[in-house]
Amino acid sequence: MFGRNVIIGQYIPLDSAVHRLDPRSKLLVVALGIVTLFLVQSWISFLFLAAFCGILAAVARLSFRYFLKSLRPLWILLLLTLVLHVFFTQDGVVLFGFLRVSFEGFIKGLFIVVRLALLVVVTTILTLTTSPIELTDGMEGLLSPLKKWGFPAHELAMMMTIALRFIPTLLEEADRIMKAQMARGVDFESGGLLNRIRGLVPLLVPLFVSAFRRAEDLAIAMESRCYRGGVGRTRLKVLRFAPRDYLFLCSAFSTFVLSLGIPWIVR
Amino acid sequence: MSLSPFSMTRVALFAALCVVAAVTFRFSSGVVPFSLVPFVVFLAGFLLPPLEAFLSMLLYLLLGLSGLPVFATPPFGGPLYVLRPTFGFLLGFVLAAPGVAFLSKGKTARRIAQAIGAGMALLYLPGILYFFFAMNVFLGKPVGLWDTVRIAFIPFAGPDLVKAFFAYLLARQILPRLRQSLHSK
Amino acid sequence: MFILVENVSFTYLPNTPFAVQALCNVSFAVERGESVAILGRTGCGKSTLVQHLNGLLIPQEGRVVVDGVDTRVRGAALREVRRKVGLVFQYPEDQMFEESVFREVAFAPRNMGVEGEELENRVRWAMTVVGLDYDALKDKSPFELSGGQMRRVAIASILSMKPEVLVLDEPTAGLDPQGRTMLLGKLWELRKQWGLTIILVSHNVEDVARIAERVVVLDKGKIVFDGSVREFFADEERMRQCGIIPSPLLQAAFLLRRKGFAIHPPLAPFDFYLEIKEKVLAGKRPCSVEM
Repeated sequence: MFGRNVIIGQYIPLDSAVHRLDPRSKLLVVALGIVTLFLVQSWISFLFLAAFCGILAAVARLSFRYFLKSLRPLWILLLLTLVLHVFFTQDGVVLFGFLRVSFEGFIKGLFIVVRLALLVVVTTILTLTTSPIELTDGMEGLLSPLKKWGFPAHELAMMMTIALRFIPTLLEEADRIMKAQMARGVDFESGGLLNRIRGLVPLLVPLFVSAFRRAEDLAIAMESRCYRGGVGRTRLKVLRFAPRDYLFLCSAFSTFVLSLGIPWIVR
Repeated sequence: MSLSPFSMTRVALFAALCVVAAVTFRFSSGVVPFSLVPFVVFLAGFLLPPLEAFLSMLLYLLLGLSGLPVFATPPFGGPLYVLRPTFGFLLGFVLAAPGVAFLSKGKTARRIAQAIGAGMALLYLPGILYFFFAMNVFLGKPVGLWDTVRIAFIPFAGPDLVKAFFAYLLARQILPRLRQSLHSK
Repeated sequence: MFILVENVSFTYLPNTPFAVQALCNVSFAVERGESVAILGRTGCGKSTLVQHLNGLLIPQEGRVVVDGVDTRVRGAALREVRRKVGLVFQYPEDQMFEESVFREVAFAPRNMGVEGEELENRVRWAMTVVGLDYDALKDKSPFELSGGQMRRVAIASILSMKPEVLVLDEPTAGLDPQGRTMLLGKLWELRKQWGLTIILVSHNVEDVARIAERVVVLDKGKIVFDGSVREFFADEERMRQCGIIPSPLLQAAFLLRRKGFAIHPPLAPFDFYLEIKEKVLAGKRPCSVEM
């Protein structure tokens, strides 16, 4: 049941300009954005980048709620980083006898935290506006120039798609087999560790045998439809850059350059 | 490199199995209180030829890095996962599976033991090194090398060894059934 | 009343955005020795309902009682419920994993504590009753058998528990016509000769006609009909509304009815022959040769 959930990931199907962007441009911008975020050293740069993300999120009609949700699993890490920098930086004011609190440490910690948060925001915008299929298509598109050097971009994308397809099938099959064995008296939930592991055999053996059979059936189906890999293969949905993609790439690129160069200009 | 559809579907299958193993750990820690992904890694090594074992783990890695929530711990996916100090273990998966596959080609007990040993080494070396590197360099939480071994290796090595062993036992059960069922069709 | 289903409602993944209500206030009862078919189009809730009968699923509302025991029990009592109501899933050969047919069929009773000579007797009986040669097949690997044989091994592996009710989900799916006839014949024997209660889940009208005496029809999680097979087959309009396509035999009978002949719904070709002889041919005489 949650197999479908894993496949969809965080993707929210809306109709916005950002959703309609070519996945390749989105992937490129996110990659460059991550690099930029690691290179910047000043708060003004963060302002620029945060503003860019904010505009993007607004255009994509994504509510603030989604970003909070994606930050939630990391909040402990963020808090810990901040705390460590407040309490364990070398020069600071001594309080309570043994505890050392440093304001500089706080600022430094906050910097790292904001950087991490922005990184999450940038990648979240990508996953919220791009479906898994689009992602694999986009990656295949970006990597296809490497085909000249023998890099199997098409095969990789094809295998990713097949893997995604197998996930809900495997989960359903595992559920079916588990129930069938429970009907034969197997108890998966109680008993010591050794018993539970032994109990997994009637689940795992049939699961793997049927999984291998499915893989073989799929391969036979592919072959009977004359699948020969990526050579000369055409696409149903051709990825094409639209004017909005060029606009997007230009604005992103200028934002990144600006955020990197701003400290020099201000000085 | 040209892959036959048969190889491709098997590679995709094992990548999907890694996802299922990780997701099962995430959602049903009642039934399965430990991560089954290392188990799948060793199983891939025992059931697949080295190239397919390598590609399937690489595929799993790529699926997660591209943003899909298929890893076992938060944030479950995305390129930021490289920031996690345990990311090195994912790299270890990619090395361990083909290592095990290559060494387990001979079916003697000695070879199998070598395969499991090599698998553990290939799994933990990148894991420990990356953990050390990550903590010290970009997470700003310096730990010594010995402490790294204490945190990242010792508590997990035992259970992972057990998982490797059970993967071998399971593979021993599966292989003959596979041969029988795929030949009788 | 051997199995009582009382006001059962069930939702998958309740309280999540993926919640799906599969059963809605379902009630019916099954007596010992009956032969019931649960019919309905795909997705109507048949498989969900049937998994309630042996406690694999617990309803959020209502209750299921098997031989006086509510299925909400745990431990040994639950295992007893699962023993009494043997559930054979669709494509049951997918659940096989043992090294030999004997071990496969013995798996369930062993989980329930049976061993030694009693175990061997059970396996031998279960295999014989489904038409498998015990001595020839007991040591073979189940994966080496033909499709029909694997199906029968899977059913035997449930029968070896000595259930009192046998619930089968699409037992003839994927079998060739010969296999189907043979399996249905064995199920009939199981009932007449060994007293098993049979519950059949199907959307195959011919199978239902051959075995069932009572039909329970589900549509979108609710029971829309509960009565005798003949009663259900007599009404073509109702059948189609429930999403059930009549078998060719029934379609022929309906055609004749539309032409004005008072045909009763035939359950088997021979019934049909008798109906035609009595009601159709009686109206027409063979043309006599003019002398």
